[in-house]
Amino acid sequence: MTTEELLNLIAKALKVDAKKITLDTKSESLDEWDSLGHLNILVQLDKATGGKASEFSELVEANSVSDFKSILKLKNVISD
Amino acid sequence: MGLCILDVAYELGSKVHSVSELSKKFNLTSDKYDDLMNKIGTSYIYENSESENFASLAVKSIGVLLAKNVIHKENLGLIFITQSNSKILPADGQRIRSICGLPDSVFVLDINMGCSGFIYGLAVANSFIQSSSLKQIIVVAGDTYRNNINPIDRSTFLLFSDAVSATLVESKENSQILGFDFGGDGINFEDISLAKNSSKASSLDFYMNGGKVFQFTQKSIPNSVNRVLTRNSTKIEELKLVIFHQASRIVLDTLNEKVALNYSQTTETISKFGNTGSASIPITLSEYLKFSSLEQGDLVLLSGFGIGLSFGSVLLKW
Repeated sequence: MTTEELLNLIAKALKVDAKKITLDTKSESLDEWDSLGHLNILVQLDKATGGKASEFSELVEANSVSDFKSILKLKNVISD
Repeated sequence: MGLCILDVAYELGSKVHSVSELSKKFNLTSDKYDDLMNKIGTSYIYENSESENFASLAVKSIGVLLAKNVIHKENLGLIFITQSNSKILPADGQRIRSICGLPDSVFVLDINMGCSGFIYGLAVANSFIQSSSLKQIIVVAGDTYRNNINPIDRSTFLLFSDAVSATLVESKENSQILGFDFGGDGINFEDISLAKNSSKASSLDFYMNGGKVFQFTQKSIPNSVNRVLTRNSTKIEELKLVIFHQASRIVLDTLNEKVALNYSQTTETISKFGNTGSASIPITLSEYLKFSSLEQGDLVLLSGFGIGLSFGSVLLKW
């Protein structure tokens, strides 16, 4: 997965315009990113990684796009 | 020698709420409402009335089984699986046995487990049938969590129903049980719990970390299913029926996909009754048998998971 693919995935999960999602986006700055929106991100990530993302419990506590990227990079899911 | 499931009865809380009505208090946009419904997947929630509780629903469920079946009281056992006893101590088992008019010689066992509990109850019942004089056991599984649900927590308020099931199992030469698989997550075990509500110091609210619980189901349950199938040299496509604990629509959909089930191999009651806790598997089996049938030799897999975080799966040959 690339960073751009992660941004698109989060935008799709939150059902917002892709332009609204950048590495600086925090959950508190988007109404759509509530507990349900966060669950949507986890579901989409699980699908996109063939179930691998459900092994990473840190993703549940992530509260920004950069948090997601850092965790997924550490786990070798994001390649760039 | 082992157990066979003979009959299932269940009772739901008598107050029926439409989820669309209940959700109005959350002022959801139509998009958010649709999204929530896609995740939860139920239209109705059943709640106990003031006069109902775990014991009263259990008495009704057991009463249905006693009326419909030939019961050998001298070799009967009752196993209660719940986290909704009237008091912390004592558990309700003996009181329910007495209200049902069953003799004090009846074996009674209380087990403190939640949504995975029905599978554990079957394992315990199977062991007693193999190792004692018990010939019939009623496995009572159910929870009435709504008392403890915080009305501002939409993810649980719009999901859980109060329900209790009673499943009659009997000793047979040819057991239905082919094998079990059990396990749990001892690190995230508090991700479903009763926690103190800071605004009401004396009360305990039902708490669920939806993200962690979703991850737990996705990593643990497909593996549990695969283990019990592998140990019994069975392939997923050979299963006639698979019933998962009715956790939520999103958990069921993702599990069905991960385990690679055909639509015809699955059934659900989440859409009718919501998440009915430890009663959900027997309720779903009972509903399935109302409209479909299982033939001798059909392979059935049941898998429960939840508070603990614990899970259990069983492979049955009907």
